[in-house]
Parts: sequence; structure tokens; C-alpha cells
Amino acid sequence: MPEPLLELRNLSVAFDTDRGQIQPVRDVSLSIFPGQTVALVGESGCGKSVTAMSILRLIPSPPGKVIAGEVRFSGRDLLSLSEREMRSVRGKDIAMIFQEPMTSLNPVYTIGDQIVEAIILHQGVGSAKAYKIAEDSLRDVGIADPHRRLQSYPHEMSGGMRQRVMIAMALSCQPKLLIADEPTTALDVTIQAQILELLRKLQRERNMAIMLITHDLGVVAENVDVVAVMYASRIVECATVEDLFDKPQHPYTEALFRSIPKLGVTVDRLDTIRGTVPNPARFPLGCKFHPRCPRTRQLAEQSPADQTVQIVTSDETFPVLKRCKGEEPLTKEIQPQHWAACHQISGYDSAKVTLAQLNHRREVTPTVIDPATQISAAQEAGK
Amino acid sequence: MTQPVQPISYRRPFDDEQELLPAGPKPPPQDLSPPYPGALLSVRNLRTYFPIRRGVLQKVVGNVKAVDGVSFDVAPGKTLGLVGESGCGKTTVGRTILRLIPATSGSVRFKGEDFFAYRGEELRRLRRHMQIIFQDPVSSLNPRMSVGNIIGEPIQVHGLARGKERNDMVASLLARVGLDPSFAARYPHEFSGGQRQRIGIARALALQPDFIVCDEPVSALDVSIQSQILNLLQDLQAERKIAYLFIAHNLAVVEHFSDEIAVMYLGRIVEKAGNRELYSNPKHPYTVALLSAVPEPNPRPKRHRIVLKGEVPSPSNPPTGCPFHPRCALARQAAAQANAGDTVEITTGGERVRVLRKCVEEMPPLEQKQGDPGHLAACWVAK
Amino acid sequence: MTQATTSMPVFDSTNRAAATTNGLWLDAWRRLKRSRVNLICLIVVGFYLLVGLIGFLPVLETKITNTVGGSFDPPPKMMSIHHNPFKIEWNRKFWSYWNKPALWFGTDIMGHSVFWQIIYGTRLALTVGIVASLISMIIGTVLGTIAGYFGGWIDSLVIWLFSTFNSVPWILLVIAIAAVLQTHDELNRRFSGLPTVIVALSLTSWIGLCRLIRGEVLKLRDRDFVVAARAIGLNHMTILVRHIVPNVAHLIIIDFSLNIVSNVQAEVVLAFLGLGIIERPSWGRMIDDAKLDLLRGVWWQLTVATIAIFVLSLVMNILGDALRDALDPRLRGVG
Repeated sequence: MPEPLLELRNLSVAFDTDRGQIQPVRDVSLSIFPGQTVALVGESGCGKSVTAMSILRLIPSPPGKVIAGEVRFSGRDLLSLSEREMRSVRGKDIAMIFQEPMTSLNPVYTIGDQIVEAIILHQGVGSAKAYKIAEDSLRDVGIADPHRRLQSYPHEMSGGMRQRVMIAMALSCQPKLLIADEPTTALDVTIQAQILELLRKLQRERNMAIMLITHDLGVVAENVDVVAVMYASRIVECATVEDLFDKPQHPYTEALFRSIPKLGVTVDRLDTIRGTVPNPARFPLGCKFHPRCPRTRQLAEQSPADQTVQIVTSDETFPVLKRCKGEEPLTKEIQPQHWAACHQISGYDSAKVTLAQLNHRREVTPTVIDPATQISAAQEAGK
Repeated sequence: MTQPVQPISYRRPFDDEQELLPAGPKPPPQDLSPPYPGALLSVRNLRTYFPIRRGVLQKVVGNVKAVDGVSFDVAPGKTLGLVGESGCGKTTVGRTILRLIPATSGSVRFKGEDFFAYRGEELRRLRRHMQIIFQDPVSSLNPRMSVGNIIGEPIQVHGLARGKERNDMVASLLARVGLDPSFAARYPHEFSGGQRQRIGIARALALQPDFIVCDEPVSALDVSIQSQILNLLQDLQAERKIAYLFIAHNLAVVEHFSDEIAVMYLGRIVEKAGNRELYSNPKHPYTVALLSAVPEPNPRPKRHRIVLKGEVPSPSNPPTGCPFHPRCALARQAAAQANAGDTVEITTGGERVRVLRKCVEEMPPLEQKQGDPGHLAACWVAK
Repeated sequence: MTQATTSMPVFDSTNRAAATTNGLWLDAWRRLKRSRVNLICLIVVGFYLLVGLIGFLPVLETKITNTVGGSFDPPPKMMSIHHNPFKIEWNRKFWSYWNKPALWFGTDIMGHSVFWQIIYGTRLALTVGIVASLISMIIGTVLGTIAGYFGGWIDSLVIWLFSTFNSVPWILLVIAIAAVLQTHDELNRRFSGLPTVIVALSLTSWIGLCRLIRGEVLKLRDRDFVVAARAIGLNHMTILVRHIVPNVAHLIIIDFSLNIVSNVQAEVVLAFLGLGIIERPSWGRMIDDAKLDLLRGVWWQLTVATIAIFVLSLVMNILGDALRDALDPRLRGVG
């Protein structure tokens, strides 16, 4: 089995706030292999962005700090590197792109200045050579007339164009891993399709690994190889993309799939997950999902009273299983190559806690067709 | 050989000027159809232009045609979905209808009365029946007002109730949107995004409106919260026979929520049909591309994907004729089969392509196409 | 789940809002009093206000004109140090002055008590500071909000107004206004030139606030809650009062507190220029009077007035910054 490119082992991150310590990342283990795309999926405040930031050691410290775990990249422990060594990793070996390309680009410098700065820093080439590399990398991301574009300022470009520039900047130093934090959330669907297609193409050409952070299950289903679902600071489920969408094990994943409207599938009413996304400052005890969990509630209604306990929310009182409220489940390998953290999955007790390692590539990628020739084919397929 | 036509800025000729521009583009089609019988809201030829000012004297040098001739009807208790990408003018449509932005021309009939003709006190009385729900749950609530005052303000302003009676109304509204009535004493910053959105809905409901503009009501919310809000809006519609104008960019959400869908591109409606009809039988090439770009939450996607080239042109200088022609695959396809005299070569995104002359010179009207009655599209080629 | 006729309200079950309910103002107060330095500053400000109020007692008018000793009597000495620094000679009579406050800070050239002058000066300084800041606050708030909210020609007019005011050097403007107002009118004479100073200072100090508020209102105007207020049918006046102004109130308060200090200091400058308060011992006049006497070894008048200004400026600046931290929502982190 090949070595993973990036390996997180039981990573935990804490932040000190004026209301005490919170842990936005708890016991996260995850591996990414070269050329693989891994998605970190979750809702706001689940810790997916903090996980990504702590890989690059970019969490503000204080108040944040890594309190446990390891981040291994190509066999090196990133957490033990000096700040100087870390700087050469950032941008060169691991690059990152963000959701809002406007705020990540400095408005007072031209696009060219900003790309060239990173190239000179990491590749130690002269200015003329760096401009040449910058021009090539803009061409690679599909920007027309790259020579002229180097002279443009960020505000002169559209959102999609700026995201392309960010990608060009991130990829100009040929990183082995790209961390993409909600790269298409701020973009329109047609532009999103362009950007995702671009990322897939660049990945194929360079055998680059991508860590995709998103909340969009559609983007996940169509673009990644392995999915890790985060809820309340913890990975609650991790599997190959096919496995996860075919047989979700964790009640949160399951409920999430049911609650999103799907194009072309008509339902009168959507299923919902009750309650709100928990705030890291006020996580419930036990399994963090139990106050919203449909599974424990359903099982509790069928169980003898001594195994259940009533919980009170702002308006409702209902029974849940004692175990779900009392004990937080660990992320275990409940089936081969499928990790989940829920007491109520059959075989949970006998399953073992192992590090999630999935060297898997997806079977199908969406077919992209040239609109000029094949529009009627797509029209047919839509029917 | 015909000369290549560069997209030129197109100004709508004034009535007396038409004679002087014999060779110029024809005026855009006017929708002269009477209000649909029984419609709650009838919008005809709505235009909202924002002047572009330059120089010391702030001379108007052009217009951003945010909305450029939009017509539709909304039946009582029904939902019209308005989809399109950012900058297509969908938000401006919603706000112009409510007279939050002045219209440049066009008419809005609400319950058979000319809403644009009202002034002062009469306008205020009519406003009661038309409300709005916003996208951003943070900016839509005044941070310095308690929830009770936020919801109670419209009740008091319109003299519906005051004092204890008002507080009772606020409490029942809070309960109706799924919040604890005791929350009235709290302030917006104490609530999560989903809860704030419920408060915004309660404020809109306070005046018992017949029509609500929902401006991207779920796009800023977490995935697991979106379905809660969508279901709430659906239930309120069933209970109170409220009509919605549901503005969103997420096609799956719009398709799930709306009875009828209008697709906007560059300030115009390019296609309008029932929700299932639009999905299963899209006519306009833009709709086809838009539908194909939506990522499916399925790891083995069945659909083909059309990645549109280029970006949406600026609404201050839209292309002549059909605004979609520079990106349109159908116009090229049709040109390949047409006589050379009926085609014309254009430059778009750095490449030269041959498209149908009619698409470049004349604006297609929104007209009935093959399919369900009421399936309208604005395209010269699509049948 | 099939029919959608009845709905089950979905309640927030995992994390309820915090048990205590409070507005942003209460929150701000809590953050403000968290620091001990802020509390001390608040106490000092309270002390100044108290002293200022004492200055309003009618007795003071006679106290400052009564001769309490000889010309330039120094404050009582606690000790004297002669040639040998190790031999300190304690002044045994020092503590016997405890019941003669008029002599604590010595006397001026006329033999008037510096102590009572300082107290009277506090009254004048606070009056000038607070009243001028209040007027400039009203001008700045009104012009700033309407300029930002309505835009168009009103905005252009207000911008033109404050650019014009701002392009004339501040001190020249004050001198001009003071010169115009300092004719021998009844009001001015009755209040020892105070109206001149107040008008001059308030007409020059509204510009900063006006500009600040205009910018902030420009942003607020397009916020959804303002749009919602218009959709409800509120008129512009109500929207301004209920939705706009409370959201710039923090700027007004911070600016007000800092303006007080700058107005007090400006009064000193005016006094130096021979403008402003006449026939009454303002801090500025005391410093102005004392500057020549310093050469004769008369240090007490200058020192006492300077300390009075310094301490007030210090605590108000600390408070101004503390208010900014406590009130400005942009600086607030999580929770």
C-alpha cells in the first residue's frame, strides 16, 4: 500500500475564549493519497475550516492551539517544524484557496505582482522568469490573454475570473496538495461547473491531491473520491463517495441526504433535521447529535423505560437512549473501509478504532460535453 | 462575405427617433397581453435602469439595465420561482415590484389596481399586503431592537394592535414560526442563522400579507436548516393562501418549491414554464446549460454536463439581439445548417464563430413553444 | 410525510440562546466595567463633575475675587531641603493648613486663591467642553445622517459644507468666529465670553463626527433591515430615528467623549490668543497668566492648571478607547 501524502492522526485543536475553552476540532484522523480528492463536509461551525487551517498551522495562536495529534505530510510531522521550515511548506508543498477570492487578493497590487511574489519566494528564480511562469500558469487555468491580465487589478475581474487567478497562484509552485476551502460557494452554478472542471483537469495533469472543504453534497458526489463528514468538531462518518451515498451509516449523514431537494425528484415535503447546528461553546453531552437524532428517538420509543432518558429541549420533551446521551461514540471502522461514530449501528461494539485510510479513486466522473456540438444530446439526456 | 459584427452598445430608440435608425436593431418586443384573469400580481414590461454617472458634473453616461422588460403574473396562493445567476436582475425585480427601488418603466397591478400609481398614505396601506423576506439573516434584523419590537413594529405602525394585544400577536407569530414566545425580549445577536430567518418570516407575516417576495431565503443557511425553513414557508402558504415570488439561484430548491419557474438572463426572462415541465423539457439553451450545471448528489451522475464558455456580459452593455447569442450553442448549430446569407460571423471570447443573423440582430419574443401550454421561451431557434 | 396542511414547529433543541437576555448596550456596559482601569477613570470623571458642580455655587463668585493673602504666596511647604540633602527639615506648620483650603495651592498676583480659581475653572472647562460637544454632536449627527441616508444633492451640499469648513485652518476659523461674536453684546458680557467660545468650538468640531456618521449611514442604508422597514411602510423620519441613529449611537458616544477633551484643550489655546473667556479664571487664562510669572519662580498656578487638564485628558482618552472597544460591534469576537 502506498504511503499517504497527508495524514492527520487524532488531531485536536482548542481555542481559548472568554467563556472558557472550546474545541473546534476533536480527534480527527484522515488520510489523503497522491492524486486523490478528499472532501471534508459539514455545516457552519463543525470545524472543517479549522482542520484545514491547522494543517498549514495558520490558526491564530493565541487563542488557538493544537492540543493533541499529529499532522504528517510526506513522512514529516508538520507540527514539529520550525516556523521557518513551515513557511517553505506553505505555498510550495501545500497550497490553499479560499471561498472569497476578492478578500484573498490584495486590491492594491496587480494580479501579476501577486503571483510573481510567491514564485520568486518559493522557486528562487529571477523576476523575468517568474513573470513567464506566472503567464503560463494563468494560461493553464484558462484565462484568455494572460499577458495583459497580469497587469490587471483584482477589482477589474469577475468572481469566476478571480477564483481562476487564485488557483493559478496556488498552483504556480506545483504543490503536491491543494486545500480548497469552499472554492465555489460564492460562484454561480455555471461558473462553479467551469472551476470544478478546471480543478479536475489540473489534478489529472499533475497528480495533485485535493482536500475539498464544502457543504454542498452535489459538489461532493460528483467530484471527490473519499468523503469525511464532520459534525460538532468530529468526523462522524468517513467512506468512499460511492459507499457513503449508497449506504450512509450515521443518522446525521442519512438525514442530511434526505433533507436536500433534488433536481427532477418531486416530493411534497422535505424531510428535516430538527433543531439547530450546535455552537462549539455549548455542545451537548454524550453524542453531540443526540438532541437532533431521529434514530435514537425512534429506538427509544421501542425500548424499555430503563434504557431511555427524557431530554428537554426548548419546547419538546422526548426520550432518547441513555447510552446516546451519556457516552460519546468513537469513530470506528464499522464495516471494511467505512468509518462511523454511532452507538446504534449494528456491529458498533465489536468494531475497532482504526485510522481512516482509503486509497480509493471514484469510478465515474461526469461527462463534460462541448456545448457547440452536443446540446441536443444533453437535451435528450435531461428528459 | 459578410462583415463580422462586433457587439455594439444598444440604445433603445425613442419613439420619434425610430425613423432615423432604419438599419439599426429593432425595438425589443413589448408584452401587451392583459393581466391574467384572477392574477394577484401582474407585472408588465418592467424596466429598472441604474444610471452610470461619470465626471465632475456626474453626467449620465449610460445605464445598467438591471431589469429590461420583464412580464409575469402570480396567482393567489401560488409560487413563481425566479432563477438566474448573480447580476441577472432577479433581486432587482423583487425590490422594484415592492417599490423599494424606483422602476424606470412598466406597470405592476396588484389585486387589479395599479400599484405604481399610489402615493403617500394609500401606498402605505397597500404595502401591508406585500412583504419581503431576505437572504442574509444577519443584516435583515436591526441589532439594536428586541425581537418583540422587530415583529411588533409593523403591527403598531399599521394600527393593527397595541400594548398587550400587540404582545399577544407577537407571541403567537413567534410560536407559529417555531420559536419560543419568550424570545420576544431577546436581541437578534443571541440567535442562530435559522432562528433569525424565522424572526424575519414572523415580521413579514405580522401584516398578514397576500404576497411575499422571498429573496434567496435559504441560501445563507446551513443545509440541515434549509429544509426546515422551506417547509415552514410551504405550510404558511397552505394555511394563509400567500403567493410567493421565490427568488433563488439554486435550481433544485426552486424546482422543489415553485409551481412555475421563470429563468432570467441579463435582465430578461428567457424561459417560463411549470416546474416539472421546465426540468423535463427545457427549451432555451441557457436553461439547458443551467440545469446541466447543477451538481447532483449522486456519485454516478447520469446527466451530461454542458460547461458554458465565457461569462455573463455586463448589463450596462448587453449584446445586441438575443443577449445570449455570444455564448449560445444553438445559434451556432443552426448557423451550420442555414444559408450563408442568414448567418454572420462574430468574435466572442477570442474566437470567431458563425451564428444565425437573426439572433444577433433581433431580440426574440417570449413565446409559446412546443410542450405544455404556458411554456414560453425567448429563442429564435428552439421549437 | 405526505400532506402539508399542518406543520410541526421545529424547535431549537440543542442550544438555546443564553439564559440571560440583554441588549447590546448592557453587553457594552458589562465589557466596559470588566477592566479596573476603566472603573478608576469613571470615578475620576465623576470627581471632576462633582468639582464642576461645586463651581456653580454662588459663593464661588466672591471666593475667586477675595484676597486671601499676599501677592504670589506659595503653597504651604511640607519640608525644606537645604545644602545637605540628608538633612530634611519638616515644616511643622504644614498640617495646620488643613482647614484653609484657599491657601492650599497658593495665591496669584492679586492675592486671590488659586484653589478656588481651579474649582471655578473646572466649572468653566466642563461647561465649555460639554455644551460645545453637545452642539457639535447634534449638528454632526443631523447632517451626517441625512446626508448619508438621502444622498443626492443633500449629500453633495453637506460634503461641500464640511469640506469648506475643513479647508480653512481650524484656528483661523475659531479666531474669526470669536472675533465676530466678541462684540460687546449683552449675552457675552453676562456670561464672561462663554457663548463666544462655545459657538466657535461647536462650529468647528462637528466635521469629524459628521463625516464618520455619513459613511456609516451610507452602509446602513442598504442593509436589509432598513429595506424591511421601508417595505413595512415606515416614513423616512421614523426609519432615521428608530433604525439608523441607534446603529450609529456608538460612534456618537465615542466622539462625544473625545470631543470634550479637545474642546477643553482648545479653550486653553484660545485663552493664549487672548480670545475667549474674559474676567473669569478659566484653566486657559490661568496658564496664560502664569506663563510670565514662571520666570519669577511662581510655579504653582501653572502646575495646578496643567495637572487638571492633563488628568482629565488622560482619563477621557482612556475612556474613549474603552468605549470604542465596548461599543463597536465590528471589533467584537465570538460570543
